Amino acid sequence: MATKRVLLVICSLIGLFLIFFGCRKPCTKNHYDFNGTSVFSPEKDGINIGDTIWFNSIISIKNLDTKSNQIIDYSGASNVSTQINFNTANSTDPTIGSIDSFKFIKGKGEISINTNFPQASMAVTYVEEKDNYLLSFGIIAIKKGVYVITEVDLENSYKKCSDAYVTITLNNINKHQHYLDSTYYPNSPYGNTIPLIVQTHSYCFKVY
Amino acid sequence: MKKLHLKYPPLVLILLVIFSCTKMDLKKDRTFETDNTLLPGWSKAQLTSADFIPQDGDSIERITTLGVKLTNPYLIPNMQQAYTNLGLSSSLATITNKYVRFKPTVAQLAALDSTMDAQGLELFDTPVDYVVTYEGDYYQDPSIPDSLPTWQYAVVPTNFVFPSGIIYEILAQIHIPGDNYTAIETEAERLASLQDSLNGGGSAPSGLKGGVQPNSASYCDPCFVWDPIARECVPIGNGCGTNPPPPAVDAAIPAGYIYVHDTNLNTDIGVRKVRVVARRWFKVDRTYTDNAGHFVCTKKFKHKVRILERFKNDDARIYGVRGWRLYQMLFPVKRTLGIFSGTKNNLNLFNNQAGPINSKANRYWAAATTHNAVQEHRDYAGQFSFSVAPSAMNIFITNWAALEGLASTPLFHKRVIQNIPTSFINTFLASQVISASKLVPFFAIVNVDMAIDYHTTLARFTSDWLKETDYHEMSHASHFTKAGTAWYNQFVTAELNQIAAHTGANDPLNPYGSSNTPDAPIIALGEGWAYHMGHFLADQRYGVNATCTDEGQFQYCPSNPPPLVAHPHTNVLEFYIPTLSSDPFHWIPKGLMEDLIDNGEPVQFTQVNDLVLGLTTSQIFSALQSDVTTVSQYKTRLLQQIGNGQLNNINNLFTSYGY
Repeated sequence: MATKRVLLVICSLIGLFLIFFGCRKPCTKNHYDFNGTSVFSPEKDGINIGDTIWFNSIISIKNLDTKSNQIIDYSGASNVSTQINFNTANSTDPTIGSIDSFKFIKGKGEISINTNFPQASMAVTYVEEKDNYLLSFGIIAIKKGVYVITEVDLENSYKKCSDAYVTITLNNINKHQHYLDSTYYPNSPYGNTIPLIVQTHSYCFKVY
Repeated sequence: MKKLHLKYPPLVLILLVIFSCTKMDLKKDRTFETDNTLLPGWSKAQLTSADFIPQDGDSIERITTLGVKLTNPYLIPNMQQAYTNLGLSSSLATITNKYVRFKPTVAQLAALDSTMDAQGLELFDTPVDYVVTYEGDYYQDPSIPDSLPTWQYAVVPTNFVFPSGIIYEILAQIHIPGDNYTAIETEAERLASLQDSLNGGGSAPSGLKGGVQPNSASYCDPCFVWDPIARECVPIGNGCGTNPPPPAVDAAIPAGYIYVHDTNLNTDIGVRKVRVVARRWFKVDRTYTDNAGHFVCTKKFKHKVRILERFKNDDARIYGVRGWRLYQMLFPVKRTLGIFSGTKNNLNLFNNQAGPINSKANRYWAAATTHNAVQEHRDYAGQFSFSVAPSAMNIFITNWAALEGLASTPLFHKRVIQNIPTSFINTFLASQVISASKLVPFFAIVNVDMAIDYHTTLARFTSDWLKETDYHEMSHASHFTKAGTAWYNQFVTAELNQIAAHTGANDPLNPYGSSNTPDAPIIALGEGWAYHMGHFLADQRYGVNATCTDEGQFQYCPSNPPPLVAHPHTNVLEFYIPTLSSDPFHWIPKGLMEDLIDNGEPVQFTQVNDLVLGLTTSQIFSALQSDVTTVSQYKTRLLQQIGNGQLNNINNLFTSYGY
């Protein structure tokens, strides 16, 4: 009887070992393509110094993967991050930053200076809340000028072995992109017309 | 409370062993599986022999099984009889060749293959004088353990000098008739009662005088007449011609096209400059495809003939990383395309994708695609005036790298470096299945110049995806040609340092490290060039037909919402953001060289001040000189070479990239 028990225990232990360590379990790597939206409000062509513009962005956790056309539950992802660029819209060098023209009010998620380009770029991270990843913050205008704010899409948001790209569409009806006419015009070295990726990701306004 | 009674613990244990997890298909399966599913592109009509149906849609490597030993029809007495039966002198049956076999050690195998190669001779793992009861993917002599090379069979000329130190046996002294005397082959095989000769229409009644070529009624010389039984032209006698008519392209000469499916263009394109080997018994013919994938053998094979493709030529050899029978890694990837009878001069042979990513079909497809990419890169080097990659590259394809699609061009072979770091093997060649220490001895024999991982999802397993990687790596090799060994030593050392420092597959700094290491400057330069060229050339080839692509930032697709310009391989360079904080490798200037060439910039998106216009690929390549090891030095050299043209704009552009 004792021998039988010993045998049972040994076999059980070996069996458990095989179950957990028998071979390397393959990790299924998927690449997802999701969509999210952002909006600036109020949607005004011009504001005054001291006025606040709010930025709100939302990415649904149960998101449609445009590759597979399936709804994917992407909760618990890491690196739901990107950057938002702040530039002057009417200077000869459109890469001139304008971070110092605003004060920032924290809302949902994290926002901090992008050390790779501190004059022009903020690093942002969405926060997971209920059914969505959310990002929001306010900007208070402190200097006069013409500005363009561009949210970059999200790349490589990881979840286990999988990763996701999230295309952010700016939902503002009027993005006031006539302010970019000084950059993009016929025979401009930056191009004759506003690139589509800028058309869909950039929001302009003037601070009086 | 219920108790679980385990009456048969050992039985349960056995079941657990069997079902605890899905085993990878590393080991051979000696079981013949009756899966007759044909790959796309094959038709049963094309495979006129029932002996061979490709079963490449899985990863199982099936062993060839042999039956009884056949009577060798090519021995001298039998050949003498064949000549006599056809009214010719038996004295013609002289010894022309030796049928031999070698038993090389692992260390000798590649050298033997190379020696034979240089003399136009081929090695085969299967003896030719046995009935093949099942045509598999390889043969291993039962007397030799799987871990050691099996006997290698060959047909050599009588004056062949055997390589010293390699065990060999002369199995037979044989006579192979001249190519215009296939009737002699037919008669000899008939005398030896070989069934497939008889089935192949080669029955030659005794008394026929001098059966000759060609084998078609419409091609018979005026002095010859078509014999419907022998199915060949025979002389009409009376002194009207005693010599065979001149050889002509006929049904007995294997010819046709070898294709690889291009998933983007949805068409089959020719596999360029791939070696084609035709063999029947001791008659072996070797040729190469042309740029259209067309091949024409020079010898006639009246009966069944085996056609193989071997992914090797003077420019590159494509090897496959293996997890079992490792010595087979020392041969370039090879594949039996079929055994053909009847008309053989219009064959259409395909390398198509099939089955899971690790299937044999997908390995052949990846080998064929990479094989073509080598040729295309050489063409592009001429078109855009940059240096071609070195010749005789050893390229290993694998699906076991640490990350999908990883690739590297250390040029260990070209630089004569024997000690491949374990971290390199684990990262680029075989991270998941086999310990590096087991592979090291094999790479010491056939050393790695380039490693290409093709493991990915089937949706991503496309021609442009793989070729972009191939072009990227080939462009590193071009940089080697330009900058020389000393520069490349420094470059590879820098990358290996960072690979060793970041070995984990989930380490975000794998494989380049961070921007502040001493290795980063040369990595930034070398990779900046290669990323540019990989996508630039992929766009040249595929343009709007490309699939989605990315380089650690965003994915660009032909049909992206919103509709970007539909050139994913240009977009991925043009929309590269050198300041993107979430990209750990943003410091590699992947879009810089595209910005030097192109016009326009989505500046609000990329934050790149690009007012530089119209440099050429030749100009951007010329500055990659041997003493240029950083991006800043590159900028200085580039400006020197173009006479400081666009000075401010170039300075501003490099500043946008952080240099």
